[in-house]
Amino acid sequence: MAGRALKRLMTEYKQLTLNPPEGIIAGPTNEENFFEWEALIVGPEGTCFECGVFPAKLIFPPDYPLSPPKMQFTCEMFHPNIYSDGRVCISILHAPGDDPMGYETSAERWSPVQSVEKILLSVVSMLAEPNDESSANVDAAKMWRDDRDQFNKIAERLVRKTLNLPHS
Amino acid sequence: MSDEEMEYSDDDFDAYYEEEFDRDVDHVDPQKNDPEYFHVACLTDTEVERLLNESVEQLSNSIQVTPSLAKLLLHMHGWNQMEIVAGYRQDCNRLLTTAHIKPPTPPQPSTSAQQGDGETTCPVCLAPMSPDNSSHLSCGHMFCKDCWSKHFEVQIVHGASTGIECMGSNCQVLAPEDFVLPLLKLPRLREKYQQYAFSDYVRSHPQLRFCPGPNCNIVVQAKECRAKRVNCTACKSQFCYRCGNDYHAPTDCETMKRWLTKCADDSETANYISAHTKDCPKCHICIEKNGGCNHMQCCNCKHDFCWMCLGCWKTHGSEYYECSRYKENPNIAHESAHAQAREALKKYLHYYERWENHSKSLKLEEETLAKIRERIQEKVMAGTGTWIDWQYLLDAAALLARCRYTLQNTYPFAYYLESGPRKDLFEYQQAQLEAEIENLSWKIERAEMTDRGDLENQMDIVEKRRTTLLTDFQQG
Repeated sequence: MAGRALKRLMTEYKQLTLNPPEGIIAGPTNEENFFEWEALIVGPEGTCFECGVFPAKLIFPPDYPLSPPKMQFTCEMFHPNIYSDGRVCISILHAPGDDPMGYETSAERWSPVQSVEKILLSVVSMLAEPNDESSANVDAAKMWRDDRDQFNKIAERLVRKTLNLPHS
Repeated sequence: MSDEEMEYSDDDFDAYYEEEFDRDVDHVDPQKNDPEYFHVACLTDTEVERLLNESVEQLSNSIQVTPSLAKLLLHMHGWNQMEIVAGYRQDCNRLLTTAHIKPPTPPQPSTSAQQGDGETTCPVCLAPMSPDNSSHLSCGHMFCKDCWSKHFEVQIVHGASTGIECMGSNCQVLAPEDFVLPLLKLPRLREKYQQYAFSDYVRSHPQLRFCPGPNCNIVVQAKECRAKRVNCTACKSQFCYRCGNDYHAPTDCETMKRWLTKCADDSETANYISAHTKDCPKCHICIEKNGGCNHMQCCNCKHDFCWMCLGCWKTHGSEYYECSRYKENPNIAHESAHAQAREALKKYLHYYERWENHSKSLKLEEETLAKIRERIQEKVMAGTGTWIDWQYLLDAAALLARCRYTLQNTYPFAYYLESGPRKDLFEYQQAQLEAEIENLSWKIERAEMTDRGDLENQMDIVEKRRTTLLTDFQQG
């Protein structure tokens, strides 16, 4: 099974390098192991995460693309849909059957025709528009809803941190 | 006797017996006499399979779809054939779309990537595929057969069966059995798939339930989903058909669940407060309860008293049995929050203590039953009556257990019942039942001294009280 996964991952890597989507860079951490990738995501413009460069890692299962990969930010994050340890919780990373957060059925789920590119694009739109109804970080979801100014302040601090800038 | 006469009298004879027979049927109709009557059938998996296949065949014949699609439709519609046939006649496209058999929009000619030389590639593994080694569902999403079978493998390992969807992006079209099975190569996986699908079908069928007994493969069939007692013929477990937990009449499933959750939260306090022993109210010797009966007689001073309220047993005649009833403080609304909390705990403890006490009594009465068996053996050996002569004692013990079980389950019901005439009536009936059960228990424990007629009379009274209470208050 790993053979077919490797072929898919190599093809996806090639496509991502030839036609990189805006604000996203991704590829295997080292060329020896195609099942562990690193990604850099630029915070979407016009949002509180604007200009930040957020590193994350993706771990692919041996039966990829039949099962989805796992994604985890390796920098400090504060977001309703990201666990405090950096794990990303969005519908596209879940198979249709499992439903830990009770997503609405319309949300896009994992299917073998999805791709790394689609996952990363979903993560960018998740950064821009958190889904506070199915939250992985309850504190962040609460603050996003009730105290947007405070949330924006924390986001700005995180952005500066990813850019190695001193506190403003 | 002429032939004519003979015929005539034969008719007469038949007519007489038919009438008699009708009356008999009327008389034994269990639904009228027994509020707990519930007709169920315990089926093996082969029998269930046959039952399901019959529905599948009927539907597949009446709307002309493959058995595999008929099965999927029945599963999605709770095995309601009428509903499916009506929906099919009305708008067959809508029916097939909502059951995820057809896609909401007609399929595109080809969704897979076309390569320069006209050969297509599988969008999952990106390997070239030909029409021979590829396949698609009604949605037209084409994938190679290898990817399909790997997809099914992954899904089955995750426990999916009837719910396996197409691999297309956001495509919810379901893969029917006759599409999945030929693509599964490993016999182990085929078996697993069929096993999971079978459980899914039983769960979606409104008339079927798995027996909750450990490792029991029996499926129970009942016409209606009601909170009634089921006895599994295979593993002998008893359970409520509706919720699958221990049988709990007259309390309904939801109230019982609330009660058990509450008990799990609060019973530590209750255990702490209600010690296992009590002092005799007259001579104050410490007494441990060793029988199920609440009518206690102190072995030291021979004082008769009630284990529950420690009052004199003389006041516990059938007209004046009050210690099952909780007396609410009428001025509670004006008391402080602290007092209210204390009152709430007191109320809970009152019901919990009685519930727990009957549960303990049930266990102690199991010992009584063992003792009865021993005593019967002794008597038979000593030549006082035959084994058959003493059977009524075993019947009495079984009846006592059944009645005490119902009585135990009246306490959660009473706890959640709102004050009013209905609660008054309930508690009156509960008190009556309680009193008669204690009488029966007392008589069984002292069977040698009790006249058989007297005991059987008591059995009759207790069972009547129990059925009256159930008839008036059982829900669901």
